Amino acid sequence: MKLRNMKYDNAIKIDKDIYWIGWYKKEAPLRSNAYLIKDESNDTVEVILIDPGSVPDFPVILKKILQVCELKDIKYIILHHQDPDICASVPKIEELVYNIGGSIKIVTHSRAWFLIPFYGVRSEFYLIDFKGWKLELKSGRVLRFIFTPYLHFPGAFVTYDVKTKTLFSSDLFGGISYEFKLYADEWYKEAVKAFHEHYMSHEDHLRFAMEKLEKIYKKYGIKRICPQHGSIIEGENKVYEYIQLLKNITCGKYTSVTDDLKWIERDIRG
Amino acid sequence: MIYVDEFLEAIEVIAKRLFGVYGKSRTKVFFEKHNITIDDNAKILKYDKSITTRDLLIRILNDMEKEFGVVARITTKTALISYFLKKNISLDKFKDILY
Ligand SMILES: [Fe+2]
Ligand SMILES: [Fe+2]
Repeated sequence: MKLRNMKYDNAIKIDKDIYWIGWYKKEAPLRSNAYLIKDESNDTVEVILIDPGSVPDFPVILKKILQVCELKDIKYIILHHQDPDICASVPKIEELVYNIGGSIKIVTHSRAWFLIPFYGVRSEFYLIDFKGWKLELKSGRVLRFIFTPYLHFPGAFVTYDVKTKTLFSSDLFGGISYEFKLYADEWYKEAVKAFHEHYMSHEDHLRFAMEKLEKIYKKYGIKRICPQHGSIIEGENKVYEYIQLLKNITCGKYTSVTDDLKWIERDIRG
Repeated sequence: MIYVDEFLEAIEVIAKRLFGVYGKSRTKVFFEKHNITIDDNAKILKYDKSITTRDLLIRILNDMEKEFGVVARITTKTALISYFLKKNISLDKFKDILY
């Protein structure tokens, strides 16, 4: 068991220049995955951090970042929404990078931009909805952003790396699972349902987003999905299966029925 | 499906969800404790017939929370609700179990 855990102690390469730098702990239901793209061309290196995580996760994430790149090369941090499991460590990262003369741009949606400053960040914002829903790196590599409103935040979006056909999906396709596996196994669908039934607002929103992703899948291909929780969904066939799964899930309002208003009826009856 | 019993089906839905969230071995051990044998696809092979299937479901739900904690309750509750809704089974029938 010790050996099995060991491999998650280091950054793991998931494509030529993409790394999983997530936080791993045995026996935790919701682990946070962070990712790093190291884009190199000629003499330039641009590092993009994706949903770098929370304050408690920070020492682990930092260790993994340093295994892969130099801090000065971190140029962008993509924050798919404003949740603390995604953003809370950003001021700490900024402190390290700015102290050595570097600078960062925070890539996010304007709706998240209203809230992210409350973490005390200092970087300039790159607002995707004002920039044509794309970010072009010095190498020419393009990251495309796809709007997934209300899943689970009004300004939520996902990132599609055109070069590797990787979709960084943030909370979408995330799972709740005590048994961590970097790559989705046969039962990961149940873990995904467990997360989405609660977390996602409405089936219409899911279907709207999945139809967009399906178009991208059919036209350009999606090789893998890298969610912010749970396991990576690897391979085009699997990706398609999971898009279909989320298209047909029951969630949000419909699965959140409770007896919270029972007391009103009781009080009315006297 | 070899049986038509909504409560047994509900138990199977729970087994599937626990497979995904807690893994096969922990789930199987838990079910064995309640004299229910499930296979690798979370299908029920054998179960305790000395009580009604409704009582069996309630017993599992109550003990599950003790065994696995509150996450199990939260994630199986939504699994059951979405299953019932998909099958057009009235949630009223399960009100005392679900809420
Ligand atoms: Fe979130
Ligand atoms: Fe999250």
